Amino acid sequence: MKKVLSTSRRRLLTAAGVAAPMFFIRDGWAAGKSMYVGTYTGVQGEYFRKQIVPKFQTKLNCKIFQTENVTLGNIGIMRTQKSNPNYSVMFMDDVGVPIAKAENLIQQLPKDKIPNLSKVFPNFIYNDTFGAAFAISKVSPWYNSTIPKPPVSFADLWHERFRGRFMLITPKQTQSVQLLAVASSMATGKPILEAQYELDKGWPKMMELKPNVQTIYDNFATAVIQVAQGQADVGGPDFSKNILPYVQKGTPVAQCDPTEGSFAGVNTMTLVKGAPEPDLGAAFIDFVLSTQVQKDLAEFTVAAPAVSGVDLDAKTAAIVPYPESRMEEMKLYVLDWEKINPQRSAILDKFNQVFGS
Amino acid sequence: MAARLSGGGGFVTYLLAAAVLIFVLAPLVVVVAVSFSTTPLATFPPVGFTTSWYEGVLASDDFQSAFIVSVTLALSATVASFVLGVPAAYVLNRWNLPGSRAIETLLLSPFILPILITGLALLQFMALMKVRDAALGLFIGHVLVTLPYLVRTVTASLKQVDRSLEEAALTLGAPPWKVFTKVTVPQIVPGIAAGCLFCFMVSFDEFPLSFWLSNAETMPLPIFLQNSMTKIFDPSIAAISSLMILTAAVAVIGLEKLVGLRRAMSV
Repeated sequence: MKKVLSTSRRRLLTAAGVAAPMFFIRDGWAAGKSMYVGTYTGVQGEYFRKQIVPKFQTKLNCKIFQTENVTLGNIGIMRTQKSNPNYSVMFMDDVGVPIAKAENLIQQLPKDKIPNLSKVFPNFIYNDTFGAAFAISKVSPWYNSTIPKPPVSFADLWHERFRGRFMLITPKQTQSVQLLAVASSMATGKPILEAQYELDKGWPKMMELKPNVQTIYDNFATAVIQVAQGQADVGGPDFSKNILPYVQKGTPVAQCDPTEGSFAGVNTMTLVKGAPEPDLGAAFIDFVLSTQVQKDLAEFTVAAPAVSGVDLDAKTAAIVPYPESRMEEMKLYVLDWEKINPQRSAILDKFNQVFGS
Repeated sequence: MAARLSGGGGFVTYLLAAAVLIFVLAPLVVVVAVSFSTTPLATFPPVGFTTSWYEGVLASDDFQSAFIVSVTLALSATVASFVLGVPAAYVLNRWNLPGSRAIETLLLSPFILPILITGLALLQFMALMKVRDAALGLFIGHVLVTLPYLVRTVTASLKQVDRSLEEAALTLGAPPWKVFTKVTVPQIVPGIAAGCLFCFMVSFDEFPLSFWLSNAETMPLPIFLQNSMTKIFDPSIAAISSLMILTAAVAVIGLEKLVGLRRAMSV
């Protein structure tokens, strides 16, 4: 009997010894697990690679395989791996969420496993919680800051002083649709958020823009050099997250604050349907939405946080559209992509007809 | 010994050759020139002279890691292509295999398919096989695209081998393996060397396939270059590109020293 008791005590001590590290490592459940996360490229991708991912790995003692891509690339990967997904978390612009949802590529974010989801501004929760924003950029025209009379509105892009001096964003990118929404608003006299449902009426106005268009750019990195060198005066519309790193480096470019308002360029996170390690994926999304990570990310990438209660440093606060009341002040529009996406192919064809001929 | 061209025809030929050379080399010269510019953006013409972009790039852990990944990947893809490609080319050339044309077409098919599509197909295959190791995926993918270069050059070399020398060696009692190593191989060495150079360079510069198969830990140089460009387009991008050009130049010079470019390329 004594021996039995002794063995039990030993077992108890052994069990306690094994359990102790799990107690001290707060999130021991994830230890040794791994998952793939598809982020964006650029400054933000680098920040994830060097800061956020290592911190998350340390916190949960897990392994993250990060790849950097763009929205369409990430959706392409999910389509390819639909039956055997490798990725757990995938980043994409707000425009991609309804597409990914309709194609059954992503799943609803579990609110119970992502407590920080409750702090995300309601406007930036997408498609019945299939996507949640984590960074918000401003989309507007940008220009060479040495020109005597910079554009102050979207309407200025049509002004004759920019004849042959405007570099238009490629129709393959979302921002081109936002410009079409402005053209529709100008043509119909309706506010942008109403005019977005009558995009067809914007084409005559887009035809009027043609004499101002010097070229159509695919690659912001080369376009910014051309505008900075004075080969063109104005470009876009484009994301502030693309433009501001150049502004901070002293490049003579600036982003316009159009009188009509700007568009929100929203980066979201989604959970891949049927993904390996869904709990780890949810934990990662929750980590990115935590107040400290949101603050650090916003200050490094100069994009607004998507959650409430973030106390930004003065330099960042002066530039980014944050908090939500400021987003309203800046008239940061979010288009109804669920309605617009089915028209994208036709819009692309029409763009090519108008500007390609 | 090569004769010099003379007269009006010669002048036109030299002029055309010079024009082609300028056309081919001018973009490279622009890149190298921009890499020494003191401007904060990669603008042309360059302003001033500085080596600070190179110092910054060479000191960067990210660059070093990407460079090591690319060189390791290119060397391992070249070795694997050599091991698989030389026997494949020999068998296809010398053995009367049924369906050898079909096998050769299959081996050379990565030449025909867009590599971007090959990469996407491999990504799907890796997911199906539950392969999550990016290094392994990249290795398999790179061997797939480099192998045809080696098969092609070695096949071409084998077609130029003087078969009468092999027959003579066999007649004189040399065993087949000795004929292969002592008579055939010396004649196809330039082709093998050219094939290996192609394999190394194709793998080292490969982008569309690595785009799908790499990750942040295993990132080859072209992907690192592309990611750097999406951050800010400063002369460090030109410095990285110049270092890649330098690597290619070193490989070509190495081939020249090893077997001679003329011999290697006359396959």
